[in-house]
Amino acid sequence: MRIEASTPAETEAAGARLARRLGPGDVVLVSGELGVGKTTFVRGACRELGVSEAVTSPTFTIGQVYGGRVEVAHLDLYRLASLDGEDPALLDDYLTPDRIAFIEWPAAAEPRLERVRANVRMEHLGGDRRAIEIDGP
Amino acid sequence: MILGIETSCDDTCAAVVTRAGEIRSNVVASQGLLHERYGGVVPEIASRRHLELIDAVIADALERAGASLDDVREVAVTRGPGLIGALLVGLSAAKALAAARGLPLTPVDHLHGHVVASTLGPDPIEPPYLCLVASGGHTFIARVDDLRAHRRLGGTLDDAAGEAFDKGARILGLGYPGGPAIDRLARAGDPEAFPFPRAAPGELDFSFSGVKTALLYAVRDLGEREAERRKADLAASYQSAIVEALVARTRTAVEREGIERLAIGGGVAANSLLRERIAQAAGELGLRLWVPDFSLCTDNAAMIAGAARFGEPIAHPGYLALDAAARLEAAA
Amino acid sequence: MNVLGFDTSTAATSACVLRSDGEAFEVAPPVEALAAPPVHARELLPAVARCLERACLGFADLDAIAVGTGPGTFTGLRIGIATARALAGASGAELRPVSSLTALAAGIEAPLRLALIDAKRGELFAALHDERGVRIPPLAARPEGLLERLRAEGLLGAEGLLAAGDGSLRFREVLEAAGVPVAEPGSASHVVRSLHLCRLALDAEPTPPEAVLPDYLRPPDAKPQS
Repeated sequence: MRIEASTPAETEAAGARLARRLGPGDVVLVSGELGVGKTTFVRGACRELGVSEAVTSPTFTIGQVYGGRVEVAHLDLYRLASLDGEDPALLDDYLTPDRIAFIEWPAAAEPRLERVRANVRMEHLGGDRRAIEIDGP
Repeated sequence: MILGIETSCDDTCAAVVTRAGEIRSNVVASQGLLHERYGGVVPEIASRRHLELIDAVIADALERAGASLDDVREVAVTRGPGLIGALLVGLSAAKALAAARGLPLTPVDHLHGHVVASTLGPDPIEPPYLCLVASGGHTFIARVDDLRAHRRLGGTLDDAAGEAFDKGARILGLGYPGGPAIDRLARAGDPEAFPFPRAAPGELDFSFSGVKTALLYAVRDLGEREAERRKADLAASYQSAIVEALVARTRTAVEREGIERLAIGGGVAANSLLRERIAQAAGELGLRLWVPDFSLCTDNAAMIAGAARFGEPIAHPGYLALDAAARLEAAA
Repeated sequence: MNVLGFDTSTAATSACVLRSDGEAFEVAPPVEALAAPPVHARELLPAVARCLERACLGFADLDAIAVGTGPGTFTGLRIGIATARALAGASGAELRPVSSLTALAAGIEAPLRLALIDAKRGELFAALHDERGVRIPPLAARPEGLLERLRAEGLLGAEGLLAAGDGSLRFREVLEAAGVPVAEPGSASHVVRSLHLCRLALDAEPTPPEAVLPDYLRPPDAKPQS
């Protein structure tokens, strides 16, 4: 499915639409260039899942967990060129069967991720316009 | 004396601070150069280095304070937010030290440490005051009426200011950390060359995602050679957009809250343009401004020990099961 | 000699005080703890405090602190070692590092003891001990690689061979199919017991705290950019 969004609100709405079709244990990969709105997309999904706290970029902490109707893990692997040298349990700490997980900049982890339910690719179309390509439910 | 320990990101820190707020020592073993090679902090490498350095850094802090463990009456440690594996090294050491000596332990919110950093030293700030904290992981404005806690008035909805600097530096092909690199380059550039947006989401909130995109588009539109030639202008304009957003929001907060004391903190407070512009704004608004020494702006343990003075120590053995938290609930 | 020992190399947190009169006071976690999410920060010091209390000892009475240095879960090892170093520094006890695989092997009741710790990402940390001591020193390998090594040493299907540890539980089917028997699922020998750690520490060398670091067995090979 391909969507065009021209405001952050539309990007959030696209995230929310996907979130309605997710369940515990699902992993969603969100890729795209800097500033394309990945965190905005995840925020929309989190709101739909009942998360009321601030959803901000987890680049600094790598991952964070929000409480909602279901727990949501939000990861950002931007700073990790490869996971080879990381604690093998790094992802296990976040990706559990009872959580829905969103992973921004997933490239470093992609080869070893299981349960990937949806793949979201976002692209700049110039100005405020974005293309959001969702490969999933 | 309070022994403070802080390992939330990539600096291994220990400090000795007195109850009166005198800094006896403030030791930071920075891993900056190590992570520079990787273009950012690598959690596993940071955790390994913390474990290698922690005992030596604590011993050094005690020695520089002219003290021994026998003089320590309380241990303070960062409980979060930060990299969980990194936090756990400092927390484990702090809990074990305190337990072996039967000392009380005070867990400290790293962000509260930044907020109260200006209460240390000979000219401590007193509440009520506002504080702008801008660092690699956090950007928010807080109000302090009581030094035990702060109230968040607004904050970033996406990236932290320091992160925006890092990502901007990456777009411009500069090194890590991005803040100092952009700060240096911007001095030779025109801050008005590119009209980057200053996003205004909500009255006291920040958003740095738009300016990041604008920089990306500008670099792309200019083409590689032209972007390289105008790098200083791009850096200056980008820095200006971030700093102006920080200053404008702080001004709004000051006016809305009607408070006459302002402090800044966090690693981005080392940015020369931010220092200049915030001082200018404070002058115009007739505020008194506290800009802590650089060593108290970046991550450090003196601010953690300092914050513990206003916290609630947990008596031995109440803290034995204390865990770290990558993310703490926003302070009420 | 009063020895406090603990191990955090697997998801199970174990601790023990071996008093100078030879009596042991141990917190040995159940096998199920190996499959639970690790919570060493919450469990370690309370377990230590329980052992000391039951032994009627304080930190100042300790002569040595033994700590399992892995290999195993990186974060767990760092919690254990940071705790051990700080306890030793503050109490004056000496520090004695012990391999977690050696402690695991010490709990296996067989002549050929194959200690296996789950290394995640489909790998195992392994060591083989026989009556004389270490036969295969600690290594990290995929199950096939380990089986290859055992075959080369003529150990596949060898009499008296028995594997234990959370790694053996994870790869039980592959191992048993290849002729490596694994201890019963509920057996206490799958847990790295700190009683064994304490006993091994009696013969271990005291080590300066800064030299006590985890045996990661894997380098942090994040690639530097450019």
